[in-house]
Amino acid sequence: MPEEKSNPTNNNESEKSWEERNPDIVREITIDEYQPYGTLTLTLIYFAIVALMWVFMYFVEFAGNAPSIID
Amino acid sequence: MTFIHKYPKAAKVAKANFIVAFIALAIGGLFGFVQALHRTNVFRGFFNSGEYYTLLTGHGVLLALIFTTFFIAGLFVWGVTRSLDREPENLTFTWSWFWLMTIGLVMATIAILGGLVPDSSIRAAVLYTFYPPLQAHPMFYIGLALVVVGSWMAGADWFWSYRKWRAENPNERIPILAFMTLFTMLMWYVCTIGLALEVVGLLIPWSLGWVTEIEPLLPRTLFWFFGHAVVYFWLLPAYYVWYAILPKLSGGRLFSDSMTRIVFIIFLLLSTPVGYHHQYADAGISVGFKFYAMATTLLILLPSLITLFTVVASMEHGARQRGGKGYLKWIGKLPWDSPAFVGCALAGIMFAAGGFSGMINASMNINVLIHNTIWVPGHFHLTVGTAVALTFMAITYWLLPQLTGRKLKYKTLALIQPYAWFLGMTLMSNAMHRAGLAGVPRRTAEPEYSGFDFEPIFGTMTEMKWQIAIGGTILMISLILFLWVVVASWLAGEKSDKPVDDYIPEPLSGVEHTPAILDNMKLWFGLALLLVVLAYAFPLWEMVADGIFSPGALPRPS
Repeated sequence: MPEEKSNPTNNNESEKSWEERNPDIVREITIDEYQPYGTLTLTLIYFAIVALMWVFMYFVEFAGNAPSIID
Repeated sequence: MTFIHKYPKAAKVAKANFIVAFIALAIGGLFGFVQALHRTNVFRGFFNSGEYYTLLTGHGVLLALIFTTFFIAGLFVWGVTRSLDREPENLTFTWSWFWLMTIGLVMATIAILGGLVPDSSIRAAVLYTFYPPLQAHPMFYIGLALVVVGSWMAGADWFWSYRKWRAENPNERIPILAFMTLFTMLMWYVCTIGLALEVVGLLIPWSLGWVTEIEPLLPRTLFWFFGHAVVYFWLLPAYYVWYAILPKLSGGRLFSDSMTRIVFIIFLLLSTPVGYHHQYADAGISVGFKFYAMATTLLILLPSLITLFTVVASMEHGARQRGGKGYLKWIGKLPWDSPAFVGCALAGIMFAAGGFSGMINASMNINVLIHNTIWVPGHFHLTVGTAVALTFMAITYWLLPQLTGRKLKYKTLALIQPYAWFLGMTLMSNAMHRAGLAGVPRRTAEPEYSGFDFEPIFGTMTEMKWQIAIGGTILMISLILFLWVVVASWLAGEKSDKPVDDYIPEPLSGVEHTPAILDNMKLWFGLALLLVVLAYAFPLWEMVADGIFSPGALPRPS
């Protein structure tokens, strides 16, 4: 629990959830409704970049230079 | 009502720590700017190339050790006080650790800056790693030792608050902010054993002239016992911000309480027994121990990948609550006009890039390619220099109003600042990485050699040089913006009862779903010590078996 007390300004406010009190929030999403597809997409993109960089590293280490360990 | 009105004593302590942290940031940052111009040969008129190493030491120590430690102390005072709902137990004790750390930092800084005074016998151009045979004035080592002892007392202070809270709340789960603080400090206690042994047992007697010989390998090994865990001592408070505060700034809730606790436990277990991955090129350490360190280092990617998921999922939750839709379109709904959010989010993106270069560093074979090149500073300017430093700066925009009771001033400048930092670091760090691949050394005032030209894999040396110099200049401008906003808000911000929305909502998957064993500090601390013994007992015994101060192995200074 990051914070247990909400410091409501009045009784009416205290009955509302944080989402209801926040004007920027258009809908409250519970854990059962929430499907983090966007996170999955970003994670896959990151793994793809890391894999490509890893392949690129082969060229930097070996193919781009003369043999360094076994001549 | 905000923090300062509820907990005025703790607010004062946190503010004192922040003042020291920001002064260190200002001086250390300026030194970094001078170095960026000097080593690229854009401008070498500020200092000569001998003095460069004094500036480099100042940059490393003031930013990596002082700015971080004091900021973290302020942040943890805020978090422990708030989450346990208690002021510090004994203010004399609290102020004594603050002043002990401050006296230590002043001693270390005087020793470093002495190097800029002609013919001074007080100097400490030993860089942030202070490897022997480089030797500093004893004041440097004693000062650093006092900072560490002060940080131990700070940790004890937070455990004290926790014990008192526990006595009054025997059945409650540890609140997450306090949990993250206590586990970070447990890790700090484990890793600083190595530093204490090195500094007090070897370097202070050696610098005072009580012993004349020192083996280079033993202090290096003890340094790296501490030296990799210290990066997690910087990083975990940034994670603390990303887990506890960033979801709310995004308009959502933390995805999972148990994930958060698991991540901090894994860091406690694995942060220390990885130190040998900084010593892959050191002779005198069996390759088997290096391999063990490589395996644990790659394992420690796991909690960072869990963090990637949990933090991004929490941000996505916020974006979708703000009306975001689609696979990637939701990103546009995040509050890209809020300085605190923007700084944390950009810091996270930079950390993802730093994660890749970290994997290269961690891999024993590929590490050889970039070892001791400017690639390595390129890497850690993404991690500590952005993931940590930018997160700390950004969250200051949210914390400072709570600690001072004043609203933030110059919000536009505060918003430009993290974007500028991101731009400057992108320029500087990509060029440093590529220059490192071309073989340009780190820690060198004049990386030029007659009759030899570096051959970059791609790009040109001139373009890299200008990216480093221009990137460093943009970073300096960003730092000035930060300091300007902080000082102006602190002194002249509009007073308010509620200067910022400081409420933190409960996680989506709350503590009721978290297994109780995760809160068992004795178990995890014991396991962490066991892993350290497995990694270090035998090699350290081997090093000291021939006498601590009578090394049998060459090379050694005499």
